[in-house]
Amino acid sequence: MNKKIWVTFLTCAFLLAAISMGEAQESGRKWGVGTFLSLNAPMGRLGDQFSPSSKFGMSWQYMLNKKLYLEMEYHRSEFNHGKLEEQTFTWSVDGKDYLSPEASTQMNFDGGAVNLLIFHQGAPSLKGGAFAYYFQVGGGYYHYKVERRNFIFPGQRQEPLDPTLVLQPQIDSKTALTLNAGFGIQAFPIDRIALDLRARYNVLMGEVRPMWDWGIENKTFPMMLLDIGAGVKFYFWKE
Amino acid sequence: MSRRLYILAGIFTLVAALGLTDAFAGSTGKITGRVVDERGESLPGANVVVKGSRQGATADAEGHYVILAVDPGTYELVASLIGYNTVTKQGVQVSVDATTPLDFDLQERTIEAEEIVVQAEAPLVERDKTSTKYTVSADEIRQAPIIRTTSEFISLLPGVDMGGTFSVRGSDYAAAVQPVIWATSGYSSADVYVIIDGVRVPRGDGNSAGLFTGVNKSAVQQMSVETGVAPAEYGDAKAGSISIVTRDGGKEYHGWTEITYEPAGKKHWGADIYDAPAHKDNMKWGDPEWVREIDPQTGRVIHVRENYTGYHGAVLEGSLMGPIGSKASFVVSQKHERRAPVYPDAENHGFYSDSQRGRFINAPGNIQGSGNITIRPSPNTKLKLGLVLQHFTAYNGEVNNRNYGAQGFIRSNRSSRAGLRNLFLPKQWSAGGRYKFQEDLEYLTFTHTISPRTFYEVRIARSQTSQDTIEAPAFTTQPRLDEDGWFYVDRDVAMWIDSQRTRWSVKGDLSSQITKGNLMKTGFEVIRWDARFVQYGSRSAADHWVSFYSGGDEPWRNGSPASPIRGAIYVQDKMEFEGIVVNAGVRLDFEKTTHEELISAPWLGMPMWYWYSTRSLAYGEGSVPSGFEASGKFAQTPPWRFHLSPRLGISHPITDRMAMHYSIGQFVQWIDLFQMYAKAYRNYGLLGTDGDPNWQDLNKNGVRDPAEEWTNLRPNASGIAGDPHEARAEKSMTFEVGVDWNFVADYAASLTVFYRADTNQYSSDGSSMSIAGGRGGAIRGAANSYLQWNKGLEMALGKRMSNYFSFRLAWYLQWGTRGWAGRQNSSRWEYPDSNFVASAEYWRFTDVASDGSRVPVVMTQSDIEKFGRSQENIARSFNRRYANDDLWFFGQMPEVQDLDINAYRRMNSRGGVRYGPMRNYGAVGASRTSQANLQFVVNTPSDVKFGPSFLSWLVSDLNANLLWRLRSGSRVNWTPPGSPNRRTDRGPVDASTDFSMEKTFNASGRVRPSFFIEIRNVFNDKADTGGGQNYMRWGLQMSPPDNSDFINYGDFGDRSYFRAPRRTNLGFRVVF
Repeated sequence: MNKKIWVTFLTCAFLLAAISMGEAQESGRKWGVGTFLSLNAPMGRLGDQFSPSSKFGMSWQYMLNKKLYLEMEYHRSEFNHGKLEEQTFTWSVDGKDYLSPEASTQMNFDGGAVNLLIFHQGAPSLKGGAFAYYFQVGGGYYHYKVERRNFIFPGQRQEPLDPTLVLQPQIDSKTALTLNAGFGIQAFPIDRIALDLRARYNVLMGEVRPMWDWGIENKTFPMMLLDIGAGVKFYFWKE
Repeated sequence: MSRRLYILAGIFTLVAALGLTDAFAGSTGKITGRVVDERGESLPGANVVVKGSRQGATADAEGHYVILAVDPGTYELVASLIGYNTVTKQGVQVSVDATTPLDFDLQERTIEAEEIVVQAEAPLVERDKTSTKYTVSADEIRQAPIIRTTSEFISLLPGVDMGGTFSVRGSDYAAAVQPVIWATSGYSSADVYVIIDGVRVPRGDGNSAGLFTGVNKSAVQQMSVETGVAPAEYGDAKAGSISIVTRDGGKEYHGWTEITYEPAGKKHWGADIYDAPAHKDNMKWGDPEWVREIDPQTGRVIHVRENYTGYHGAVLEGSLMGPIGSKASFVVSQKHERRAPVYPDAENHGFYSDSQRGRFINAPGNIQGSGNITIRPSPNTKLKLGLVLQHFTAYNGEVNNRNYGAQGFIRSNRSSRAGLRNLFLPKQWSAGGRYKFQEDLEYLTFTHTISPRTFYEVRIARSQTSQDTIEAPAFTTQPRLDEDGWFYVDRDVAMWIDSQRTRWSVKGDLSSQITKGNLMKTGFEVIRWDARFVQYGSRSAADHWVSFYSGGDEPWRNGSPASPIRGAIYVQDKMEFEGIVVNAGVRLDFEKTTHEELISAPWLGMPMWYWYSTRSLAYGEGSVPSGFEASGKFAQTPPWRFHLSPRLGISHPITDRMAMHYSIGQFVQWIDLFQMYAKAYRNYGLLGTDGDPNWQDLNKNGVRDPAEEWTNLRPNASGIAGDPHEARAEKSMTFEVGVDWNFVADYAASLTVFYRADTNQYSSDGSSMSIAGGRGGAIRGAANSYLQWNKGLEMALGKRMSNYFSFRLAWYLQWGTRGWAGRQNSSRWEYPDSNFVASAEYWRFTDVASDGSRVPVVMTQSDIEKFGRSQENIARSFNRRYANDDLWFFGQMPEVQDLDINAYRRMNSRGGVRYGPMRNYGAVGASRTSQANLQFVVNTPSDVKFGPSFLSWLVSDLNANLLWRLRSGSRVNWTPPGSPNRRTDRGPVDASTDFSMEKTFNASGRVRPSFFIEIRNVFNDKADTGGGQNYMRWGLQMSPPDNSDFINYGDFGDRSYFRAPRRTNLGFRVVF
């Protein structure tokens, strides 16, 4: 996992926990841990470059009051073999289209976020058979890295085109502020264990550079992803 | 509702006739409210007192009270009335130019009398806000230590450029220059009205020099930025106001001192600068001869490698405040920086200048600070004496010519052309010598409350900006290189600024709450300058030029100051009616130049004045031989200028938690004094007998006579000539609509949509004096024909401190374009006709008197006929070519008086548009289209329970700040392959996150030390330079892969990322 994300995540968790747990132990608040797996779909211009992939993560949540849960999560997602690998460019010298056979594009995310789960009709009772829906808003930092390698350099002037003259690796790597919002439901098949289903839209204040010659006419900013997933949460509390 | 509409319509009509505005002193606020009993009945005679002060009021028959002239801050107010319990409200916040509503409910006193104490909560939505304005209080400043300077705080507010330029809503990207000889693109700070304690910080007299604020954050009580329509009290500024109110001393001693340590380390991306790929094969550390090479002229070893990353840095700031007896108090604040430069520089330490967008100044001996003494001789009077100061001495690296003198100028890597090759220049040395710089502002404000509803303020101030040379060379020598011919070694470069600008100002304001719903204010301000400014540059030994302004049309009066007067009177009214607040006002600005200037800038090119001369040659009366009549004074005092600026703002509450506002206003702004009065001369290679470019031995006596000084100069065709007879104030019209909404609890959002049109922007046209036989010349004179408009959105979302955290998200989006209309797209050709040629005031050549001065050569009859005919041909030529364009006879021009000469101005509308529709020049300069920032603050309480007691202690009294910033990329103009059209895109965004954490010890004690750590660019992100066609086509941010330099040496741009790598600073602070 990205070190920066860990440090940030832990610092935030430390601070928020310090504030909230100071009160929690007085009043028997509930907390829990969980894990999840999602389908992570790039949207907009990012979706033109990468197909959906998976995302897995873990979370820690804490009950602030009867309607609000605070959740801290870490997740990771990888996208390999982006669509750009199969894209050709038109060489201005001879007007022909060329594919870069060795081209590779990949993207990965390591994200940490702090989310607020708003149970509109009150948090579930954590008993078997309980069910509740919620809205979720959150923010955090996602570290992303988009790499493009071995794309033939279209700026060559001498025929024939030299397929070994490739662009330098293009790496867009930043740790971007991210906002997310979505909704979900929690259903408890048995006491203290919940099945969490969630759909969420993530907007990262990060960008991926353009490559006009390959049809990416503008830079991608902001980066947007939709994730739909399921997870399991284990709740604990002090009576 | 319809009744309200009628009322509004009536108010509009009334306002249109009258003109009124928001009425507050620039440094105080107001508290108003109603005192009622438990049944809601008014309690006339109830007293409301500001605890700890002598301010207070008595409720009127309807229970209303008003307390005027309250300094910004947080107070306790006590309401009392015989027979009723006393009620105290704590935490009452007062802001500058704002009304704090505060009602009291008093209960009839029971047998056991008790005082009721209530915590007041400032409303998140100001209901009397009629224009977009943001306020930062002392508490917010204290809670955000990651933000180091007042400039940085201001730059984080919506609508303000985050680059530290003080540009508000895209103001004035067009006309900005920095004080270098050749204009570089930059931002002007001239468009904003900046006030410290109600005293204006002058600008607009230093060739768009950076704006000085100089108040350390530890001395600030409150800052506010009005990005919208400022009230009529503020003017001579197009783009809003920034108000800084300094703290008063108070009744107890308090202090604040902080030291921040910056560890050594590399502060840039890429390789060590001595190993940079851009050196190619020119670094030869393996060659002993190269390493030992000695400069034959100076005897020093040239190629010395410096461990420039090994310097530690520190910033020390402190303030002390307290009482002086029972009626006075003081505040003093100082800051000193010893920070290491990013690259090898003349000095190992210096500071980053707020007023120059954070530029590093190699001045280890720097100081910046402020102080004030507040005296309250009586309950109704207050006197405040203040001082703001910045002083430093530095090696001349700020005034250099980026293209010419930079070669061998100073070792700091500032010039992209010569920078790396300057690496081995000496330490503590500059080819241009040193300079000393000082900004100071002294002021006295007097506030007198005449009655509970009326007070007046008088402010007297003096400010000065001075810059002078130390050991500056007289003229420039050739660049010198090492034996390999690559790295520069020592030389002399004559390039400096010598300037002293003193401003005296008086401002008086009278405020009166005439009725409950009517607060009127009227006032005046007058500023008088004594200013002179000289920029000298010498590109080579043979080429030198000078630009200056001073108080005389005659060039030799360089040195005597210009003393223009600018000022205004205004009247404004704030009306409150059934919840609606209307601020309306009108302002009359005036300007007067008090010295004579040539009636038109191109006249510098008249052959009579072809050469700079230290004696009068011909300026009208008294300059002609007897028997001739002078045709008029060619140098005259420009007339008075007046401009009227109405302002209107309306606040309309929608609900208790939501209010809308609308405002519209016109603003004028006088142009910079340099643009008004400048003259530019150049020697075009002429030298004195000793090779000095600053004189000519005209009388060949071998002596440098006084009259021969600078006599080898003539008007510089590339320079700017001021033209106060022609120049007009810049104008701006702003309109905005905004809404503020406290949607839940402590959360509030605001949204403003604005439009601003700037017209009459200063630009310089291509003016020429057309003289037959090549004795005229071109010059760039003033032309107010640049246009610019901006429209956009400002949004803020925030939560005030509660439940131990707060945040503020600001986002600003704008679209701007600029263009020309009118004379920018044309030139003015000015020429005499044959009658003028025949007059005794016209000649073509000069002779030399025995004292070395130039004397006219009277024209022969044959010359008069010959050159008179030539001038007539010129006139006919212009008449033919520009028959449809305006022609002026100078004698008829309204700006000049008693002139009866045969000289003409013909406007050449070459290029088409003259006063037609604006021609779109394209998106505004390098302006960012969007920027955003998020500040997140966490303050843990003192009694956190978290695991073992040590951990609990550790996480208690913690303050954490997170600051995220984003700015959209700079503009990229390029042509896509296969497309005939150019397009504009944006380069990479610039985003970063800073974080700080502070642990306070003994938080409830009298002395509160704290330790902090701050991390800039937490995630070590690079803000890519990018841009250009290669970036758009291939995503390339470096040389193409087939570039031979890249293949052989690597990426030349590896150091050129905007944002510095992560830096971790440590600090210690003590507050008592």
